[in-house]
Amino acid sequence: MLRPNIPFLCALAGSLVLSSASAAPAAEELGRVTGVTGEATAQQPGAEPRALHCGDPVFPGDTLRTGSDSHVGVQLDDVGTYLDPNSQVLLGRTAANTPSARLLAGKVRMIDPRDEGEPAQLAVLDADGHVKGNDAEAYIFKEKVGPYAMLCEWDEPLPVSRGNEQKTAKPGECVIAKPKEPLYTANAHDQRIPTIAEECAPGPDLANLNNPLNHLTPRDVAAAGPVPGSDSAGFGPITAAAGPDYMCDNAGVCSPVVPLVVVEPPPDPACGPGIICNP
Amino acid sequence: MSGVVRLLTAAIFAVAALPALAADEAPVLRQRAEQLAASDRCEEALPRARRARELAPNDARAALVEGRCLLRLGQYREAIAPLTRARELDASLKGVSTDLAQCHYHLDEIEDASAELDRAERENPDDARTQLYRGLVLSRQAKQREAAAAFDRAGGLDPSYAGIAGLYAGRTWASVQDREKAKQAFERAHSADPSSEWGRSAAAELETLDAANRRHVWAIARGGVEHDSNVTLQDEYTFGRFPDFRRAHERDDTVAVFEAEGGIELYRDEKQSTGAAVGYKGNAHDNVHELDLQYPWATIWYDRRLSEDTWVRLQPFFGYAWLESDPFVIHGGGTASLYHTFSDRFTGRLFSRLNVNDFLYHLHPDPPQDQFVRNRNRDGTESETGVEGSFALVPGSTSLRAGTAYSHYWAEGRDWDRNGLRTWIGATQQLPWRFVLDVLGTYYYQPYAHRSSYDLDVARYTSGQGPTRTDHIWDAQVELRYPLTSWAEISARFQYTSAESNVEVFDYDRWIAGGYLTLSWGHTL
Repeated sequence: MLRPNIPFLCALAGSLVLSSASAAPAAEELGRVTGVTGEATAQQPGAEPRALHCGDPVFPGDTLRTGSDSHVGVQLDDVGTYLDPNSQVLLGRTAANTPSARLLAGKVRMIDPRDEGEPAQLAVLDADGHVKGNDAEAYIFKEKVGPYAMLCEWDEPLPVSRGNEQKTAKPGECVIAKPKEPLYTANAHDQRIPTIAEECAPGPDLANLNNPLNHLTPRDVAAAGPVPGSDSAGFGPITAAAGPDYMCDNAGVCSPVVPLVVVEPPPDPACGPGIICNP
Repeated sequence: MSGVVRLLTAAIFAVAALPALAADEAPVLRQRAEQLAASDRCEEALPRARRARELAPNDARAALVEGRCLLRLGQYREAIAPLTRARELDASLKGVSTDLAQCHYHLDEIEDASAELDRAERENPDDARTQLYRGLVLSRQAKQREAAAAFDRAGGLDPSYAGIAGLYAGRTWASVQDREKAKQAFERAHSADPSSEWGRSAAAELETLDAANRRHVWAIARGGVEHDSNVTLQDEYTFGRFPDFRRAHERDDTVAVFEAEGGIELYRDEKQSTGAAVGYKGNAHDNVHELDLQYPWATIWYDRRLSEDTWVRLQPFFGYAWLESDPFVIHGGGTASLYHTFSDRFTGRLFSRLNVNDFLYHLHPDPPQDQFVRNRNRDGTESETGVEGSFALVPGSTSLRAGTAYSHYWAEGRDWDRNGLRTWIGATQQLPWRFVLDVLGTYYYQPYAHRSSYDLDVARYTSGQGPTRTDHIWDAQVELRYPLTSWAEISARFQYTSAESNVEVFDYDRWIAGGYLTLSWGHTL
């Protein structure tokens, strides 16, 4: 009777120690609410429950609770965690600083898309699932002899430990952890805990990601000042009103009005029509 | 048997789980990417967003976060595809059009940016970011008043934009001489955040806001080399009886060209401006030195503003030219111009010019008859009156200009009495990499009043049977410019002229190809 409860109590105590280390919610954010339907709350030990809304932060030591017709999803670092109705989960961090979710009642699903890093923890009663790249679920069932845990897996093999015992659930299998019985596997059911159908909209921080201040400098609009050349003088550019172009019209140097005849050596002293003779 | 069933069932469950897993994993990746992006950790967010899109190609939010992160990281070109895809997948996503406008603006694609801003304004006319970029786009389109108003709106919609929008608005109002609005905008920018770069710049520019009414001084120098196919402006023709004309022929040459000018504004306030400028233009021929030009000139101007959009300019001028070292012409006159701004895109000018010429070379009679000398005396007075307009077809990118002018020349010798019509049309186009292309076409029609004594058949002329000269002159120029800096520019030019005249000595064609370097300087006193 005592044997299955000792690890559970130790684990629960460990989680509480972990959570108490960061009991102040503002100290370290663990994740954010990514979807919520119905009423769900988060509660630090000794504090009043907080109603959860889209985008709310959750912290180590928080116990998430869902009501009879509510769901809540939280993103804990890279790990998505989804509570079914009538469920309770205690949040924390492992010694490796990865997210930890300990199911206290009901059902929870944890989706971890990572391929690398230390595993996250999905714990239920005295059993621990080591989650990395998994799509895992945890359940608490009640029988006359007491509650028992079930951890199921849909993607990668899920190592589950209880004390010195270890069992791995292959995709499509569950590890059953009943008191007074060794861990064993069974085929999984075909109904998984749904993720939240209605996700929260992206928060304002994402919309503000491209604040113009991140892209622009004072130089993007030129300061008024003198411009090289004559454009800054007068109310319009100053040009030579009878400049060389106009001269060409009259002088015939660069226009057709007067045809110049160039007489190459020896110069002919006589001048004629169209020949310029200098004085 | 039961073991087989169990294995099969497990296999079916496992296989069935895979596509569902991908679908469920994608939102987790995307949610994490969104959180990281919101924390300005886009380097970490991007691989997650891309993986989410691989797993769920129709996830609009995954595309959005990828696009926004690329935009945040300054990868503007790369950001366009995912942002566009996000909008295709979910038209209700907010702010995507403004994201795209940002991308296009920073890629210097101003028209595309404007189109996205049009869409963004239809979705949300009160978005400060949209209005700020609207101001930037309008500024690039040379619509300064509209730009300044957009900057003002941006600052009013979001107080966190007061610094940047105030500085931009102040500069833009200053550029259109609205110093009161500029001052208000600079003060808003400074008071919003005095210690920011925006506030500090605004404070500095408040102190120099009256610079627009300070006097300016400038200088320009230009030099280049041209090849001229016909420096003598002659055609290949033969004359039967005049030995000199027999040697007259078309000559090509390489010509160094150089010019310089400097000017100073002597007085300026909001209503008027006056000043003086002097300049020099010259050239040096490689072979035909007789045509080496030295031409100094001087001008003064007086500008008077009649209203916000209308002003007049009176500009007397004077010039003197030598060919080689021999005096060639002295001339002087004045121009009166009326300028009007019809809109941000369209400006016009009405002008009239009078110019008196005194040619300093002597004509010797050949044939030796006084009437030739008398008739060929080119000294006289020319008037020209015309209109011209400039239209920004694509503001900041493409502008058109066109004009027409009527002229008359009263000469002392009857050979030169004429009317004239000049019509021109041109365009300036901004090209990629800051190149500028300018094209100009001009047509001259010049009917002369009397029979020309330059008729090759002198006997026909003396008997009163010669032609009355009429010229049709077509001219086309193409110039490509490239600004090396704000004060140095290189350019290349090609010009072709075809002069058709019923008097043969005035009938020729010519082309010029050249390269130039222009240096400019300006200073506010």
